[in-house]
Amino acid sequence: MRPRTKKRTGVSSAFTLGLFYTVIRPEEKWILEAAEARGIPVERLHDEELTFPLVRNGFKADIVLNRSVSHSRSLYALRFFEHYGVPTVNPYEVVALCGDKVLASLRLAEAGVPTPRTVVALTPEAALKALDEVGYPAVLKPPIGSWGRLMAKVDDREEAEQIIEHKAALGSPMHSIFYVQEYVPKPERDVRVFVVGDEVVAAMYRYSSDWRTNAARGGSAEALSPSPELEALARKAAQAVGGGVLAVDLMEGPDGLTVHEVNPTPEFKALTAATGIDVAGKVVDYVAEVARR
Amino acid sequence: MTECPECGRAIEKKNLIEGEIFPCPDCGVELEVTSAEPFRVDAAPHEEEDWGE
Repeated sequence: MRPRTKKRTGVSSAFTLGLFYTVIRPEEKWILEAAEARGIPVERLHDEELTFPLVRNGFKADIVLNRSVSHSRSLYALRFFEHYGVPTVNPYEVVALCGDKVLASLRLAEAGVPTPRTVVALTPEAALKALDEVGYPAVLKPPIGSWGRLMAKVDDREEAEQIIEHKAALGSPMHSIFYVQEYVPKPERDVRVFVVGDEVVAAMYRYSSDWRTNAARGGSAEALSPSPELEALARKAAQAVGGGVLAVDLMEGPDGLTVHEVNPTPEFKALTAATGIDVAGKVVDYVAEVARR
Repeated sequence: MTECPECGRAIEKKNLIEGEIFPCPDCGVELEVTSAEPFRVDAAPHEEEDWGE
């Protein structure tokens, strides 16, 4: 579903929005349309083409909205934009924190946000101990990664030994850091709340028969009218990581809501389709607000 | 007008913009508009390990 974008004729912008992107998905196309409707000029900054000298040159954007799908490219680019004195949505710090599940869990716990029980191990041997501590079934996740990639539900110790051996064989240092989380028995759905600044702009249930409910893995979405408790928790999680444009993912477990992820470059195609809310417009309005600060 | 590099189906530009990804209506392979003028498409980039939200 295409969001309804209001035409705002006669409005001219005092700033140029830099859209840092990898590919133009519906989300990025809607952002471009929302900017155009608001009279905001956009400079497209393709992450495969830009170069980053230590002294700024070659682009004119006054603020950058990060929509790159690559975590590594985002991190370096955002740090460069910051170095050039260009504000970014989201800031480098927020993306660095949310992109690393270990750091994000620490920050959420420090802010008193309920999260699933989590234990981190730094070697394969310690990972087995961590799984024993958490108890089976448990979930093993790479500290950096998204879309449910290389996540494993581990049902018993025998399975754990095999999965850990495979991960260690992948060779990358990041696959030798083990983020172990309790498996939360939940309905076949999780909850996504989209927070922009201080505002909860939309929320949905994501349904899937797969234990991973990421929209990227298929499944369906349904609009959700968030309760005050859910709104407050999502806002608290977003603020804990530094705020901005964030999708807070929560699970409904036997002990209540827990936040399992805060996404710093969120997709919102399914959310827009489910709710009809012009999420792209909200994002662009927020970028304009940050640009005016 | 161009064609899908996978199945050869004719692809019209319509309102596609540079960088946009879309599925080929025939074979379903994901394509990317690599140039709007002249209109060209190629297979969309493969997902890399650190891609995500």
